[in-house]
Amino acid sequence: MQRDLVERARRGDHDAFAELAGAAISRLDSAAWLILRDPEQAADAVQNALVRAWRDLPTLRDPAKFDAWLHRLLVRSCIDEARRLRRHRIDLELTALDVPVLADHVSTIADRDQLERGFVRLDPEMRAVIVLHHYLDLALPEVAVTLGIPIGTAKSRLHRALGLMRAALEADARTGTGIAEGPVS
Amino acid sequence: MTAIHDFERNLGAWLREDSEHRVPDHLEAVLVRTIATRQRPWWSSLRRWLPVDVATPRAPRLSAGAWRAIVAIAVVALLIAALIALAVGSRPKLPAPFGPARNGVLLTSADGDIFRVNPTTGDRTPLIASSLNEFGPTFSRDGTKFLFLQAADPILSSAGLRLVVANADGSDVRAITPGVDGLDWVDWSPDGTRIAFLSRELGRGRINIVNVDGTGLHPLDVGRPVNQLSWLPPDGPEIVFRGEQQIDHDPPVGIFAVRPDGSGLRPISTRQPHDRNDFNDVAVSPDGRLVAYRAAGPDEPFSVHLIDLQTGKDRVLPSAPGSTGEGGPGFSPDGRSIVYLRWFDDASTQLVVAPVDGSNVGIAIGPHGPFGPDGPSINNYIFTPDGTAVLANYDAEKVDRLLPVDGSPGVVVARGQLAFGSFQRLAP
Repeated sequence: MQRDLVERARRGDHDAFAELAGAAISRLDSAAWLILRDPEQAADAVQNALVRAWRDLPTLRDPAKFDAWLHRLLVRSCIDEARRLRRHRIDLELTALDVPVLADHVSTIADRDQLERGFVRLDPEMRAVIVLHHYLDLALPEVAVTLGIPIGTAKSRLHRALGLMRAALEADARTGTGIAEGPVS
Repeated sequence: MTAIHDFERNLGAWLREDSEHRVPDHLEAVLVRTIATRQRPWWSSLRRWLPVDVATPRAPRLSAGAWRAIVAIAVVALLIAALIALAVGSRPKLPAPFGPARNGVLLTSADGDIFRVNPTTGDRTPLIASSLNEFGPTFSRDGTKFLFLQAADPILSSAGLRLVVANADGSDVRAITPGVDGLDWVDWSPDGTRIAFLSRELGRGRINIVNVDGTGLHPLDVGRPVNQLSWLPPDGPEIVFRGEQQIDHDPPVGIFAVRPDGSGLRPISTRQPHDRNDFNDVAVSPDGRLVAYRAAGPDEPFSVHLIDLQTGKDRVLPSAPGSTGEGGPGFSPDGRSIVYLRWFDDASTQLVVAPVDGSNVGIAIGPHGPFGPDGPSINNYIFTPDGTAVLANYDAEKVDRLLPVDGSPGVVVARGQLAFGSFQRLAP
């Protein structure tokens, strides 16, 4: 069904593309929100990704790869948005995240607010790795291709992103207070 | 391990919960924009056209004069070929530990341990196996030692990774650094006495150098974030690196070199960057004369460029029809060929071996690595020390392939949850 829609959209059928976009936009918007944490920026990123998808769809060789291709466009669009946003934002000074010892309880903490605070501290590129792997369920090789980075870098970036989140949770647990928001890269 | 799994499971659940309230209301706006946007023609991703004559004209009968001209041209061509052969044969051989050599054993990492792989049978033998996560084995250029990365803490990933060195047979294992935040790029000095590596502070890469005995660890401050470092062959007077632009206040992205003592910082790249993604995938030729990189711009397809370090001339390697981009260059042991990834419209990739002189678009080797939930992806790849093949990791398929550079079918040399492989270089 989707393949047929992609084939039609590739040939310029706008109704087919509207159906594809309608089916994907909720998932794309959620992923963009998770990466950017700003609803307007997320909406812009999704719109830009979909417009680019429409424009470049005739060059997609394999219609079966439409979803993966669209994810790639979305992440690139999110990172472009984040870079554009950075020009207008003053990043807060960061505190060190080196935590020498990890208490056993930290890794099992799943408090929603704590997870959110830890997640928000990551920069958009790191959030993108986590969203691709843990939300869109892409395997690491697909994450690497999506981000246009080597697999080793994707692995180390995911490793580092999760480590920073855990360290933030640990710092949060130690101080009993929230963590100042600001990107960590 | 259970704690880590709990954390990641909870993270996935939270991501879904956190994104559930999203109810996009801008589909109409998207469709209005797409109606006003013209689609690219399907053929527009082809970067060039090669004219192909489908009608072959009948060959005319040649006169005696024409035959004499053909013979004269053939003689001249033979003379030129002989001169080229003489020039190539008299080209100085690269000094050890560079140039073609015999293939030794293959190291790879899987599931947090280091294995020795028999390239012929694919049999794996554990070489380094501990409770810690160990990966990324890389032989020194003389093949007598290897390094690998080891998690400094079994659970806390933010404690960083440390650099560990061992003899080629797995003996004398010793950590030579403490836990380093963001350790992800490592290169042996040509003489095997030092290791340069990348660390990150708040995401900004920094060059570090340490002696293989663990002494002399020191950072190099080049005043900007860096990445993709390599010692400059053949004797390592400088370290070549990619200078990154992560924030607006950083200088523009480019390729640079600096001496190991931090002095003599100089630019290598000779043109202005297209954007912050330009000058990527930096690789240095084994004779130290060329630097290869992937060029990129906002509306430019990826392409492989070469900078001549003596003249500063920057040239692009030719692209093949149907390619949507090329990148990830790596030099052959003799420095005359280059392997890189070629992208296609469907985001699949295929390896290509091409001459560094740019005389042709190269030979495709190995299967495509299509992008997709179940498709393979081609990741790390290196020439074998003898230069006859490329070892490539197809991560989604969980195989390492040995692919002859002449394009003939390759063989799977290892299966399983593999990662980066490193070939031991033995004296020729």
